[in-house]
Amino acid sequence: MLNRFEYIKPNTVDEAIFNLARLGKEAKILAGGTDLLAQIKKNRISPRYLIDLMTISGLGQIQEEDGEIGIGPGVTLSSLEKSTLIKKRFGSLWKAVQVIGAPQIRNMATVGGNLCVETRCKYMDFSHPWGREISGKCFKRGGALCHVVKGGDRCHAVMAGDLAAVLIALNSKVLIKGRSERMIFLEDLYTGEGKGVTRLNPDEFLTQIRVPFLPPHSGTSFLKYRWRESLDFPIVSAAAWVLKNPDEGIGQEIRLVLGALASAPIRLKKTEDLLRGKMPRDHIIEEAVQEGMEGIPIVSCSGVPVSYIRRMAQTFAMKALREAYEASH
Amino acid sequence: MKHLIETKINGISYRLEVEPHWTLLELLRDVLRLTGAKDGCGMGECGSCTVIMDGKTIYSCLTLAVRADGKEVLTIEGLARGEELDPVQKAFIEYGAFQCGFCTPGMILSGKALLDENPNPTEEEIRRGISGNLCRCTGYNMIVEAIQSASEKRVKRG
Repeated sequence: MLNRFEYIKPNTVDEAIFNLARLGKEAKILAGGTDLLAQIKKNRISPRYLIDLMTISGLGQIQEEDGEIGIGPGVTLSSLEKSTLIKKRFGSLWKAVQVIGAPQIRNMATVGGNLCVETRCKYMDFSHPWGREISGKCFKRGGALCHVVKGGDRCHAVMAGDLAAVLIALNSKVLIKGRSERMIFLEDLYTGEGKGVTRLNPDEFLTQIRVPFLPPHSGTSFLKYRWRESLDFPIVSAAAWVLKNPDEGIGQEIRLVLGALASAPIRLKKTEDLLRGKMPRDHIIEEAVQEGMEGIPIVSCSGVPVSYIRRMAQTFAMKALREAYEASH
Repeated sequence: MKHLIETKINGISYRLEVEPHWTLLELLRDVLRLTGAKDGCGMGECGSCTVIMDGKTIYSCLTLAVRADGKEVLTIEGLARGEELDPVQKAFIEYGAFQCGFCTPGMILSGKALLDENPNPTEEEIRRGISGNLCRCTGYNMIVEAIQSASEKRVKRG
């Protein structure tokens, strides 16, 4: 059973923004609903209004323009999976979208929803009855405590959406609309905090995700590690992009992003720097990943020990890099 | 405030007044008394509430009833044509692909949606196709075999 709320069905983006601005924090945006409605059922949130974005035409399209591909936030994951444009141009994105949730989830869930999905927390998500006894205590519930990171000064819940990591590795931008319009790098969308995971103002939402076409000699990869092959959140996910210099075989540009480790996807810039201009030999990759991972704080949102997640993150980061190097030619 | 929706369920057109917070599953089970779709976990994890909306499988427990407006919904009750069972239903009986039966309506609809899209799936594709439906009795092998056999029969017939 869901708590009562009012349902608003805007026909245009402007109408949606008007309603968001008018209703403020009492309203939530409804896209696929696969996470939001579950959150409402578990009594974690109780919005008075849901504003449905799925009926706005134009938010559900994939289009090619000016050397980029524009993905509407309302594109379902299964439409993305079936897009020949995505399959042909963005191997890692295509691979990532196929391993999210299950067929039913992919038929419902959207790209925008996956990028803005609520963070996960091993305390909140495994408390029973759902979150009720911690009301008002932890940061996420409006208090000033974190039960997962003792002494933590903020909410440390984990951003576990898969598309964020892969789209950041592909250097994507997002178009945000509210009272005005702005475009930022997807990487900059995330605050790094578990509560209020994105920099979106209450009256704003994503209106497009722009992924630039890959230059020639690029290679991409995406890997996801989890216990079950479906309907399971990642223990870690890794996405890489490598631009190879075909004459010398070295990596000219490298981007490596890890997901599900913290409140925002983590870009291992130090690893990227160490690998730039180098031959992709195994020991070089291994050292670059080990150095890049040093001091990176990891939070477990599932009860899997942090030490194990750290080792797996290194393993999967190395594997993702090797696959991206192999895919580039 | 109630919303008026127009929807087609199992081939029958309905004009219905629904509360905004009703799920499609509640509309089907509690209002229309179509109890084939089951209320299992209610959180989009078990797949027992699976129905087909506009050709695609969805979890009706996480779909608002208002979202069925202008859509066509197929539940297990609408799958057979009169007395003639769907090939997937026949195959489930032939292969004994159920025990307690709780997952069966969702499992059959996932199998049907898969075959509509991919008439000749590999075993791997079948397993991926039903990966959103949990079964705690059969161990899945008979279900996979049943869908495989239905696929062969549909291909032969078609």
